[in-house]
Amino acid sequence: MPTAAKASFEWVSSTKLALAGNWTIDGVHVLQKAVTKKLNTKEQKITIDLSGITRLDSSGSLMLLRFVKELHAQGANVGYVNITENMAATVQMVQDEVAKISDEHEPEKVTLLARLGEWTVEKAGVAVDFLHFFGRVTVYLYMLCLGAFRLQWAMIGKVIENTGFRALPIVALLSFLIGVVITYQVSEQLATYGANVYIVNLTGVITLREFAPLVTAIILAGRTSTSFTAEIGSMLLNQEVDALSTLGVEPLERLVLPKLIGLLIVTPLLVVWADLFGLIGSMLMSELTLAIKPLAFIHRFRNVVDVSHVWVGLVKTPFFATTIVTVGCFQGFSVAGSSVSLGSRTTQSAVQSIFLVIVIDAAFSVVFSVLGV
Amino acid sequence: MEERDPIINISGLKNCFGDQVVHENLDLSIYPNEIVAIIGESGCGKTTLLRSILLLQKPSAGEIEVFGTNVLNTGSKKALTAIQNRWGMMFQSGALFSSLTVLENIMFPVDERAKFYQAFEKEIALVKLLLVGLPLSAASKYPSELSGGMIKRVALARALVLDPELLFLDEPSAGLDPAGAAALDELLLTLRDQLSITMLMVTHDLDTLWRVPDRVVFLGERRVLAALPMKELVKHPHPSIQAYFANIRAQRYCGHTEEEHHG
Repeated sequence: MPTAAKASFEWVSSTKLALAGNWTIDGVHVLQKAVTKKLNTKEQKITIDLSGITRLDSSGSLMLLRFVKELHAQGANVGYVNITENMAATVQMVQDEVAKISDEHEPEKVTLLARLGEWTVEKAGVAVDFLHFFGRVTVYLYMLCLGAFRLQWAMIGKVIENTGFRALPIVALLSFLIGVVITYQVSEQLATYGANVYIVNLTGVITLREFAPLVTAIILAGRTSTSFTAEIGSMLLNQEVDALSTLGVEPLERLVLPKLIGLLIVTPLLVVWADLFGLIGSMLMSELTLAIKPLAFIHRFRNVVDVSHVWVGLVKTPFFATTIVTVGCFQGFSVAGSSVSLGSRTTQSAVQSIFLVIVIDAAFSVVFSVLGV
Repeated sequence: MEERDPIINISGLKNCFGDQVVHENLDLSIYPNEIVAIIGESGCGKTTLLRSILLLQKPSAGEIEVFGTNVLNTGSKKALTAIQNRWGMMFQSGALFSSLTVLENIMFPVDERAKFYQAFEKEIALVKLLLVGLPLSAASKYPSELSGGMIKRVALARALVLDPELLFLDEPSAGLDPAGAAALDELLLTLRDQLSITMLMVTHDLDTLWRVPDRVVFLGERRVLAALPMKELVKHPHPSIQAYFANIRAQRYCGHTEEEHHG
């Protein structure tokens, strides 16, 4: 085992420096400080004796060269004695390469202002690219309607299964819980006024119009948008997208359109599913907190909640679906180079699609209130 | 050379993937300071053999000794790390850390191993970077910005940065242009002579096979069919070995080289 003694050195006389021990990566780090502190000399000629060295590797050679450099700087000429042919070759090899090192490899320093500018330009560029991508998706969708491509039913089916069918349990559970939470909060307020039965009006409208679509869209944004990004991104890194292009298949048509069509079908269905479970949660909680029997809840629901609220909830779904697919796929196609980029794009995909879903929902609220729907 | 203790000693190795048996009763010894190449048809388990030695693939049976220690049962994590510190691996596709720059990739093993000042670590890394023939300007680039050939070189620099006693190379010259591959061959020979590195490589490159290794191990029928210098291996009577070298490309090359050797 060459892990014996650490590297060391000793002034045998004022002109002779004897090296000893293990001059390898494991041994020489103890000498780092010594280079500048313990090498003072006034002599003109120094010999370095390497006879005590058990092993010399390139890290050791580099350290040796630092010694030599330091002695040179103090005006001494340096020669080696007892250096084996192998050691000399190793030192020479390292010396040759060290001579080529310059500052060229240092990355340029960037000021804060320049970085801010770069960031702004980059973000603006992303916004433009996103619009460009959205435009292309629209054009392809239009071409699909004109019959330019075959509809990929098998792929659409897969999208429906993965994003819809497999999301049923989580959507059901979350809407149910949201129904429970809202009913609990509202019922306390209503009970103080003795307006218990109005719980049906409140939760019915709020679930159908707002919470079911929003919860569904947020689940889709978190679950589906990210999986689209990861899928397309890793295909891109694996050159699968290039393979599609060379086969004359437009990647956008094959990878984005089935997802878009699939999600346009799935989202309204999931919202109806969320409506159902949200109302069930609300109904069960009403019985617990306000003692409204489920049958009475259903009866009143039929009388006071208009079906138009369901439509208001469903009208938003194509916008949500389009946003989720476009953001997810756009981020996927923006993956460049490495797995790090894939990770950050996936995060951005979730953040941006949830953000946009909420913005769109707010915009709809404003529009509906102006229209008086 | 054979009188010395082997640096790698494999006996009775068996590897399976499900029902498929890749190696069975495989014996192989590698001696200090030699360069050994592993060849064989596609799917004969060349890379699997490397992975077994590197403990990336757990064998179903058999013993693997590296530096005289049984790596399959080292007893302590420390003993294993001591062995891992003495070998280096250059992966086929580079396996560079994509979140680190080239220089940081090469510095990574040094930083893990010893406590040096940043400047010294950088210099060690730069020496290796230049040694494998990369330009200084590559240092601050990320792996995604490099060409295939440059990735190979960075991978080699990272494998070499600790001056390992034992170096594993998986298809080192695949994807390099002929000049680059030839330069790499010379580099490997120089490194072996100067740093006394023992090398075990998987390669299909006939130029490399003729120029670099002391012995070539032919894998077939789940074991080592022959481990001979290239000149003797091409004359080996075993049908698989004959079939391997019987294709036109290999033959053209054999003839060419033999002329050179005899003439």
